[in-house]
Amino acid sequence: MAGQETTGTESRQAREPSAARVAEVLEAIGAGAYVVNERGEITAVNTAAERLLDRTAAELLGRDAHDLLHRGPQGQPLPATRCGMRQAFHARRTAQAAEDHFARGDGSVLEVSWLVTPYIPADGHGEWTLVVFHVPHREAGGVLPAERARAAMSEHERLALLAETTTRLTSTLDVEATLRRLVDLVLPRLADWVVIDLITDRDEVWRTAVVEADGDRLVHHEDLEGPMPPVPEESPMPLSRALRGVTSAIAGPQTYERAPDSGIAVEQHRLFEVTGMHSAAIVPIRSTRAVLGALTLGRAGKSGDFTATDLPLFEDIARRAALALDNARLYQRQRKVAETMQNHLLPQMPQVPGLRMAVRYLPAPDASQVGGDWYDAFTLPEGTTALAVGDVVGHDLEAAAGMAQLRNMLRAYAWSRGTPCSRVVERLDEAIMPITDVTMATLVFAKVTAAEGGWELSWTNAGHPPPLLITREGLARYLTDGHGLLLGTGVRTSRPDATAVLPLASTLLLYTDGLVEAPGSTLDEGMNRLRQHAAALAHRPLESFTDELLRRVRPSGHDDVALLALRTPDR
Amino acid sequence: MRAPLFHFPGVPYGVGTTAVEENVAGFEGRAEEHRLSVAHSRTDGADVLTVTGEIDRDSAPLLLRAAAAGSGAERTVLDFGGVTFMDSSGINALIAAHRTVGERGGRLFLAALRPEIARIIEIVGLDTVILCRDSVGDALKS
Repeated sequence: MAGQETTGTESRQAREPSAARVAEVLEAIGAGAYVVNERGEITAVNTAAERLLDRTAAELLGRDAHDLLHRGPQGQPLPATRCGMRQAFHARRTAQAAEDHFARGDGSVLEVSWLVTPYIPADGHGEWTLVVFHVPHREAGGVLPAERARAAMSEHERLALLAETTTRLTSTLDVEATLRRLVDLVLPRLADWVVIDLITDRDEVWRTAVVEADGDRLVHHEDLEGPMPPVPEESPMPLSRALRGVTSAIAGPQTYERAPDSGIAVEQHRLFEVTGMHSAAIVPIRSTRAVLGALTLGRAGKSGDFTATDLPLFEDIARRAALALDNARLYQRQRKVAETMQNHLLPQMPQVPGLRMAVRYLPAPDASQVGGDWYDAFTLPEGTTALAVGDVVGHDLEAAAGMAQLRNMLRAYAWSRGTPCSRVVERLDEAIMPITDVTMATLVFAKVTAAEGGWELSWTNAGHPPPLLITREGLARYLTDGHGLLLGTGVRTSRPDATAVLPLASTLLLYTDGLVEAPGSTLDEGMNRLRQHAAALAHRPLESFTDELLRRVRPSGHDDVALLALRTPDR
Repeated sequence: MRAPLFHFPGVPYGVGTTAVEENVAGFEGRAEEHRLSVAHSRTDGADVLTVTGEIDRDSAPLLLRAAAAGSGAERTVLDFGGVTFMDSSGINALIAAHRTVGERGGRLFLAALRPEIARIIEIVGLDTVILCRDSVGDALKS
């Protein structure tokens, strides 16, 4: 809106016809003055206002005066509903305030007294409003020192800030988002620098955020972020004490001027030097379980030093942040188990000419219920494709670790040439008790071999739900042969082998019980549902067959599911 | 697989089951909270254990102790007609009972399984190692 074509006195008026005359009138006023139109946008401004606000006319014209200028005592944006000036503006009446606050161009807060009154332009068009303001004379310059700004923060405002902190921080379970919100909460309202140091899972200190409030913008200083030296056991320096959870403290550049006692002190010296902070408050981020890090609020541009009276509020904020971070970390740690299983333990599929394969692993929606469901497929030396889907009894990491042991052993036993499936699984079962942590497991182990005019499946089943074979025509049947005892019982049994022909364009489905076991229905009902839907989807391409089947059949999900689908070529 | 192997929350629980207490050959006849009871009798020279209620981690040891105690008869029949729920602990207990009875030269039979329990036994392959019969009478005759 600010016209580039205008200069000098003309720049103080907007393009509306009578604005030029208004600007002339405003210049005659011995205080800061501006006029806004019906929408609250600045249409004219005088030189005194430019000087007081530390903003040029070009920066002011056309902007919403309330949004741009009006602030609370800490420089925080002011809701229009709580703005007395805005109410008078709408009611078209005259009003005044002795103590209020405008934001200057440099980000500082100007204490002002103002008067607002309706203003009818000379040509009679429009219902404008005149605002005249000046700096109360009792204080030189009128720019609030930080000390005064804080004093102006009422108990009510503190409580409101803390409530907002809790609401905004605890409404996410994401560590990154929690930190972003924490920064937004404290900048620029309480400080113009914020530094967040976090103690990682491996007990390292990581300078996670160094952010500066530059006017309305938040600037991240990545050059100051990154790993930090370890926390010294004994150091009395403020950040070290905060990171040990001992206490909060006020610090300044002079705090870190003397010979550093630790690597952290060296980093702190650098921090003060680069940011130009003249005062900082350092408080621990401490949950009920552990010290998670430290929060540093700093002042560089704003004048006034922090004092001990500031610390209780900052500690309250840090405590709420700690609670939110603790929750987010626990949640992310649990999720990681599922991700680890999926990304590292479960294999990529081998490429077998002619055969198509699709695999899925879906962790239980409740991240704590990661089970030991797994699949595997690999090519044997004789060119046969080996398939396995199994389930290890246990919870979380224990189950994930057990399934990794089992999978690797199965691969090793399967590698010996020409061994029937039953013999491979017998060997596996013999080895489970002495050399793994697995207590109980079930699995289907199968081999697919190219045969005369088609493909042949051979398999053995160790206590697992039976494979499902679906023909191109939509005939679906469970392969119930080859069924033997589950693994890990210590009972020596001779396991059966079974074989079946896989017709052209047929689909073989191996899965775990999470797919067929649902609260409120029997296993048979679950298996019937799976068979029906699989038959109905038989004509679909394999990927969409798999996804759609999971969508339709998988119970609302209290358990994890592993699934392997294989399709033979159509000719 | 989560600990309850084939857990069926839909299967009615054995609420109101009356525990039958009987101390035979040193086993406790009743598990905590009356969820499982095991009654012993001698029929046609066989140990018949009438099992009623739910078999889970807490109650499974009772089943095992009962089967292991017995009277040393050649044939031990577990009448499962009153078993309404069984998780992976039950599978473990049955396998251990099978082994214990076998070690002393006896044979273990499972009889009168409800369909949903029979399905679990079948899926995990227990029916390939433990003799399953439709009724206690069949188990005694076979």
